[in-house]
Amino acid sequence: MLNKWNPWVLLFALSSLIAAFSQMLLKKSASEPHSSVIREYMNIKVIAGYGLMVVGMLLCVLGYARNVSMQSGSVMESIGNLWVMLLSFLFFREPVTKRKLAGNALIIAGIIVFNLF
Amino acid sequence: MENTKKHEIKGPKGLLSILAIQLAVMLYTVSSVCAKMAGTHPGSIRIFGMEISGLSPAGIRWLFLEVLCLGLYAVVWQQIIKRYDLSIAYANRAFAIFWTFIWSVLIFHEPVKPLRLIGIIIVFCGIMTVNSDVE
Repeated sequence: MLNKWNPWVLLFALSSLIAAFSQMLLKKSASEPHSSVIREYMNIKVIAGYGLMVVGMLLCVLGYARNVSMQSGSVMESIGNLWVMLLSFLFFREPVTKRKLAGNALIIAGIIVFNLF
Repeated sequence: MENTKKHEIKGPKGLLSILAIQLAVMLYTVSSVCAKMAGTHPGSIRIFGMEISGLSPAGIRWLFLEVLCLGLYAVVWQQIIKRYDLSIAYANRAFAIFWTFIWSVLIFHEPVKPLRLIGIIIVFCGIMTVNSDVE
């Protein structure tokens, strides 16, 4: 049961929050016009976005170094969907629908079921 | 509101699109494999006199590979989110949890516990539910 639960798995939740912020930056950049293909990639939002993603990845390495299993890490990372919903609302005013809420409730339930056994 | 024209996921072309997105998703999960490899190489390195534990020189090589995967993924993913709605891209990314599960069993010999698998399936259903919310 929970006695084997590794608290370092929470690093993956933090990592996915950082990754969600990076997605916001990438989406912002992708929806803006650019003068050239190079500019599509070489702009501050894309660079910052992928920089944040690297920080998130390093947090995952740290988690794995603390004996978090790959299955536990990936399941915890799925909480990123919740972060994306919240941040999409904040940055793009995307509506928080009942379906999104239900889906995220399922994700949380799945994470709990996974970590209980 | 953005005005960029989005591709539709229909017909053989749509199938190719999904395949392309899935390859990107697979690449993303391979970067996680590298992260796990980097993290499971115990030891420490010394940078500017500072001891950094958890990353041996062998681990650093995996970290480099991870960044390489991430870089390649970055180029592909940027094109994907430019062409498709984030919701479609993320619906496909839902499968990452299964790819990761496959790698965890095949490469790291992690156990396949039925109840954990149920947890993973519930998470997958949740992700699909979230992403089925397309206007």
